[in-house]
Amino acid sequence: MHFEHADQRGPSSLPEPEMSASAIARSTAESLLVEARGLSKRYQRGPLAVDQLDLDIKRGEVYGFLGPNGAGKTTTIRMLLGLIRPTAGTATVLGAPPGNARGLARVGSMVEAPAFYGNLSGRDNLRFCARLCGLPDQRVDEVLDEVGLTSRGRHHYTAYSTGMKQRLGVAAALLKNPDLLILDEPANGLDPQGIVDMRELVRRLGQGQRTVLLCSHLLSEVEHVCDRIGVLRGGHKIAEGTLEDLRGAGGLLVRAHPEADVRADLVRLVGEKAVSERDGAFHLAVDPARAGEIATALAQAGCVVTELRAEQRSLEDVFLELTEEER
Amino acid sequence: MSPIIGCFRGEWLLARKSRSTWVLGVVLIVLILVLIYGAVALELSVLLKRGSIAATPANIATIKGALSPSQFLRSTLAAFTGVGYGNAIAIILGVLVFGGDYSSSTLKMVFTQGPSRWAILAGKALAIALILLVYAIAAIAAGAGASAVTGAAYGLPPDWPGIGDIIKAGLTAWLLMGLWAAGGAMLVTLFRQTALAVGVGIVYSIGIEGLLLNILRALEKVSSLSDVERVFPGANGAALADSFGPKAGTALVSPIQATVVVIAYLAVFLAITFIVTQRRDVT
Repeated sequence: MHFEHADQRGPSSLPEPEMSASAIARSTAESLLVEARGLSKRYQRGPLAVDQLDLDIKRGEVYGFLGPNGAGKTTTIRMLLGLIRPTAGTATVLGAPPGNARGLARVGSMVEAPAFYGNLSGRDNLRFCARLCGLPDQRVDEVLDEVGLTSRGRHHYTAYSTGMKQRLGVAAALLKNPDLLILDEPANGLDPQGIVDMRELVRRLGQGQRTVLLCSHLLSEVEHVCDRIGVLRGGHKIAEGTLEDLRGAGGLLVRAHPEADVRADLVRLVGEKAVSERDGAFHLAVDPARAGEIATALAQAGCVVTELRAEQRSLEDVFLELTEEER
Repeated sequence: MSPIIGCFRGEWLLARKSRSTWVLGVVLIVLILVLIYGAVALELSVLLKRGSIAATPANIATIKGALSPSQFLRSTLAAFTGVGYGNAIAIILGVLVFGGDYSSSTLKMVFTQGPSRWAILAGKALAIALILLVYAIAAIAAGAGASAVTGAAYGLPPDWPGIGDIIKAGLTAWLLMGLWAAGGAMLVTLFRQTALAVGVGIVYSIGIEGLLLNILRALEKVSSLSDVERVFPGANGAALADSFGPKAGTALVSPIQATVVVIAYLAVFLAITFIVTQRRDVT
């Protein structure tokens, strides 16, 4: 389903002014694999699951979709794959309307838990998918090898462990050697080693020209793998950027005493808004390069500094901060 | 390769590997042998041995007729009319092929592979058509085999129908099973539940339509409702099957009209299945 307006592109994707209209369209279609404007979905007798979502995913990047349960991640993915129709908004995937056979032919996906036919072996399940896509059985063996399931390919799907089912789901998504890979919670239900293996697999798959949209509520998964991250909450995109963008410039951590004097001096030096206190330490939202200046000032004021170091906010801190309202 | 052919190949793989396809086919053949030929042969031998009051020459001739090679087409097609279990088997097959993805939650996986929903459904329809063609050929072959045995056992003349009639009867069995399989496909698409679709489909084909027809026939005595009977799918299917037997001239509708009505129902059932699936959100 293409939702007719495809002309509302963000400034970052605007081509050079002298380009012709067709060249503009081609260039944008080639650089932006996923483009959505004002995408919204309200389920029947349900809440607004996704509200006015704009999304641009560029060729070759690994884009992480982060958000708490019920944030609208899976609903967005379903809309992009044409499984459900949006209530409002427009979207194109690989230049085609979502769910269009032309676009789907170049998209591999795994939405939520993988689901296959229990009466077939893993290999036969992939043969079924390959036939639907018009691919030879030889491709099945290649992807089984790629996800490390060759030796278990002939076993019934029902006999697979959760990790093997997830890997089979990824194998099915890879069958078409897709330009765009959409993985929704690929580490769901995996043990710690399985999570690490899946993370490595996703990282490997995202190398080169392949674009990956990774949807997860596991922060470490997104943090280690993604080039760019979008954070959803209550159906809205509340933040987007690289990991560094989201973390911000960082700050300083100071442990010193007497605490009352230290606080007063820090407020004088960097301003009240930039000083917060937790876990027995002061956290300063300032450029870490000011560490020397602050250490000197505290020493001159007679304070004893026991620890002073630059600190980087983790994605978890950012995520908790961004999603705090909901909690 | 056309997407529909690719989808058909995928569905055919699924059907070949599915136990239900084989089990339903075997059940159909066993029931034809047991409930049509076995039961009638048993009835005849009881009548002949005990010499009961029902053992009139006319009765015996009728029963022998049902077992004879000359009437094997009508006898076999009885499996696909009225309370015939062939209808039920076709409904179950339609429900399983079109609705198996609802119970196994594989619909998302199937619809994101690449082909359009139309192509996927067309592939399923072609796969069912091929399975039912195999069932129809097997049913006619089983009926022929059974009537050859019973005919020889009771010394009935080997007056086999012409090859043209045999082919027409095979196509009739195929069409009638296609009708009920399409009905099953529509029901499971509407209900999204295999158990409910099978239940409603079988109850309708075996019970409800017969009940409605009886009520209509009773009402005919006070008002003219005979035209209403002519639009029921089961009644037209029965008329089509009857056209191969001795009562061909007394059928409710002509074979041509019955064929048109059955094809119309089949087309409507499939159209509803395709349209609803095309428009449906897959969550």
